[in-house]
Amino acid sequence: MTRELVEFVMKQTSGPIDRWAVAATLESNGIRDLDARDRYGKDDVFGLADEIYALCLAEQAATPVPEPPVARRARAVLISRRYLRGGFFFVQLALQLGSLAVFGYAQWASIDFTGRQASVVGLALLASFLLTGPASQGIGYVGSFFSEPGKHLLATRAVIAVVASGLLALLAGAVGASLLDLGFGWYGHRLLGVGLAYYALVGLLSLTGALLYMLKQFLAMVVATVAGIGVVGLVLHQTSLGIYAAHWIGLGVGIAIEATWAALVLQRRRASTSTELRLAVMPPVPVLALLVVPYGLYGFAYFGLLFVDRFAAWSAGAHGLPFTFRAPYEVGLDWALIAVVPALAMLEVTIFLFAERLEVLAGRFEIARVAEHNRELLRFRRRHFGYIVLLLLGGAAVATGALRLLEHAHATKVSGLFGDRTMLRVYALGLAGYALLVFGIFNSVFLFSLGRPWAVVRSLLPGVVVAAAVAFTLSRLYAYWTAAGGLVAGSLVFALLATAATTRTLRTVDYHYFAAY
Amino acid sequence: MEFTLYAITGTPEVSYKFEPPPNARRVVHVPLFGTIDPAEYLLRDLPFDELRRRRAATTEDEVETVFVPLLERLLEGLAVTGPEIRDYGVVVYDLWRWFEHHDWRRTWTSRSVYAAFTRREAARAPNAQPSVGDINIALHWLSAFLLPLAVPVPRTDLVHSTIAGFAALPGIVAKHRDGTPFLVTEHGVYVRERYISVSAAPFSPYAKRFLMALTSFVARLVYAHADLVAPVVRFNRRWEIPYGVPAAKIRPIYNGVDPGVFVPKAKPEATAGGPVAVAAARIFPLKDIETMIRSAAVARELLPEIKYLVYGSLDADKPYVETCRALIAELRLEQTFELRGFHSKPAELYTEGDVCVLSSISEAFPYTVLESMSCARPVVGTDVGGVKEALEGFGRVVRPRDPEALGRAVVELMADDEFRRELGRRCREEVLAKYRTSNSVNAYRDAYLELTGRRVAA
Repeated sequence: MTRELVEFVMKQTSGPIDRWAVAATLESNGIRDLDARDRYGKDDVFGLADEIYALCLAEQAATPVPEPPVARRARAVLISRRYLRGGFFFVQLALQLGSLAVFGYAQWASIDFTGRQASVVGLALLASFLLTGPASQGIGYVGSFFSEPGKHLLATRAVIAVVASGLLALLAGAVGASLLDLGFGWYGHRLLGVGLAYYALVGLLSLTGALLYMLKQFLAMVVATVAGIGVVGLVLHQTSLGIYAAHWIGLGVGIAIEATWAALVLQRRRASTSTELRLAVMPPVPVLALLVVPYGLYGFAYFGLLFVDRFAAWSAGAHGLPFTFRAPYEVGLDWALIAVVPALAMLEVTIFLFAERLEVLAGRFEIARVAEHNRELLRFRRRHFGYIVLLLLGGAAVATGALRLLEHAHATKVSGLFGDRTMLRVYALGLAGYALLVFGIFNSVFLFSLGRPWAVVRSLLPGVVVAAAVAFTLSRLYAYWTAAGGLVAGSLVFALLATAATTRTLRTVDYHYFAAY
Repeated sequence: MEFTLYAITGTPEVSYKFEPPPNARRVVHVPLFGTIDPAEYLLRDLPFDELRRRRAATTEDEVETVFVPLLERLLEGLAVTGPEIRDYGVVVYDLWRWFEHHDWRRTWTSRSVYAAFTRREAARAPNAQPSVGDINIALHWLSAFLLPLAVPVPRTDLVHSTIAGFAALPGIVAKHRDGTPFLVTEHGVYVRERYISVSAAPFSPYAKRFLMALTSFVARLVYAHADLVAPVVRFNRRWEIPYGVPAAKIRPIYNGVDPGVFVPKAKPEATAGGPVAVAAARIFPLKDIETMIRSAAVARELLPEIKYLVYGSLDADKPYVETCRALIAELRLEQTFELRGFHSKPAELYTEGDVCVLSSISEAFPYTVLESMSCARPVVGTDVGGVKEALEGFGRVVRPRDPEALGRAVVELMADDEFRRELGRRCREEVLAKYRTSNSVNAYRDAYLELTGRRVAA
């Protein structure tokens, strides 16, 4: 008789925790004191529960816990997709650079630019990325902060607010640049106007791109880029409007596609928001702002570290302009960036596997063995550091090999640059700088995952300062291209500080995993 | 009489089912989950300066020297089951006072709290060590369930909690600060209901044990501080007494219905032709609709023209609805047993039938019984919770999960028209005498007046 009660209780509770759990479960199954007496010979349900609990304990001891099955194929697919997502930015980069090499123009660049034109446009690009960096990171953070729990109405509102802050930053930058130019008379009205147009359009494009990235609409970004470049070609070849107008229209088309696409996705998500989550209210602005600030700072400092050496290189020596674009320098750095793409793509995989590992190990280790648990995660980082190093070496080998080939091939419109000594030197320094930068970001990934964005900012900001100091000093003392040494020095500082912060964090990763959420 | 209401919910995204009456001065909404920091929602009206001040005050040193000893006392209390539990009320009060001036999230995520919690929990059960993940989830639960301690407690003449759970924590605070009288109502027994749902949840054994230890601790603490425990049904005593409530402190206050809304009427034309049993029940397992269906098969054997009409949402557990439909088909009861879904006018549904059926395997004090009685329709119900308390002498009570007994009892009542009508009349009189909404409200008012010393107990 009691057999079926034991089975029922075991099924309902997958092992009761005490007599009260058994009593409650029996009562919920309609067992009364009367039944306990008449059918089971006990005083009441609680007396019956004591007996059933004892039988359940014996049962539990006898039943081994089955291991969950592992779906290897599904996992491999999942990890590959993560890797591809991680490498996605390369698709965008490749489209632009490929178009420049093959057709001679991209969405915002042209090999036919004069030195002055390239300088103004280049400066506009750097400034727009730098000033929209905080908003781009902010979009990613607040977007997922609200979207992940399904609060799409709030996500939309918050994202619009962050985009507006990005627009304000752009506006402030434009006013600042105009005042400077008025004061110093560097570029003159016409060139300043051209620069500001590029600056504003590329700034907008980077904001709409951040929106799509947050919404995981990668296809849309490719479509927008291809369409944008296509339109540049169309206007350039089919009209007499010239390169500026072609770029502006191409950028406009890209922005329009991205913005429309993002608006449609947001609209669809808002419409699908559950009735319950429609009631969600916005947290107080200062509370939310405090959460977003470190991500914004990271966005600014990240682009700062990426670009500060260029500012130093472009402004070294007298060329009549305060900033002069230097093609060999740019090509050297861009080529070095391509070399680290395979390693950068890996970071998405690291983030994914780290989150998974955290959860699995947390269930596997008893708290008494927490030190071992934490060491296991330190080992995880070491292993992934190894993968990153291998991918860096592989990427560098392939990129360097390709460089050698191109040097002799004369296949593209920019082949002449590939044999340039300065370009090669910058490439070598860029390779070292970007590799160190990847180490820094690699460690930051752990800190971000564990909700420690300030630790990342504290590692990155000194790196930016050092990069600026070294880049400006070297480029003034030696040749302009030695500014790339700033990237190396700054990235080294970032990598060291981030590694140290991550080591400290992982040593007590159990605590940080708790405190992050 | 004015009220400040504390609404404890799972997440912040909820709306009112009923608008609060004008004498509810304020509603303090405390969502236990759904935010990372209470500053996002619960404390959203706190001036930012105050928030900053609290954050600055919450240093690791201060947490270690003041908060951690309180936390350790609290965790020690989780193992206490005797009357000395009352001594832990002051811990709850001190925790509340801490959070008057300190930041909630910064406190709970401090290293000292994590270390103290880990130490304590590892020592609790050396043979059943929690995992790293267990500690993580348990400390999160602790900080979430204690959230009612993050909000101000107004000075009032009385605290009335409708549950012996976390929502009652402000009552303990008020008792220690101002000696405020404390009344606790219980519908289902909180600790019992949590046992059922936590046991069935996919948590680790440690996590279940911790959550139930915390839940039981709070229930015992609430009982120990209550001046009067007023369950809606006597049946609840069987859990309340072993959890520390002296029998003398328990005084049931039954639910009531509005006899002006649930009025006796003749059956409408559509169902006037033959014997009809109605039921008002959401279609889900605790209502044991399967037994009701089988009882219909038993009843049809004896009374072939009988019909069962079941009103109640079909959305609560869709797979279960399918199981019920399959059973109806299997027993060829399509002409006898109808799942009619939600009824827009509950006051009308009982009078569509001659008797009302309740087949639940677990209940507290079901409204459907009182509503049916108010409509002068006798009830055949299962002997669960307080059903017998209402039905003894006014209907038929049968063993749960016994379709034979349920079906026969239904037929028995159907067979004797005169007796059934007489029983219906007595049901109506019983409701008018004992189960009016006003009886219930007056009983609470009397309890308020008595506990606040404005009237001596009768």
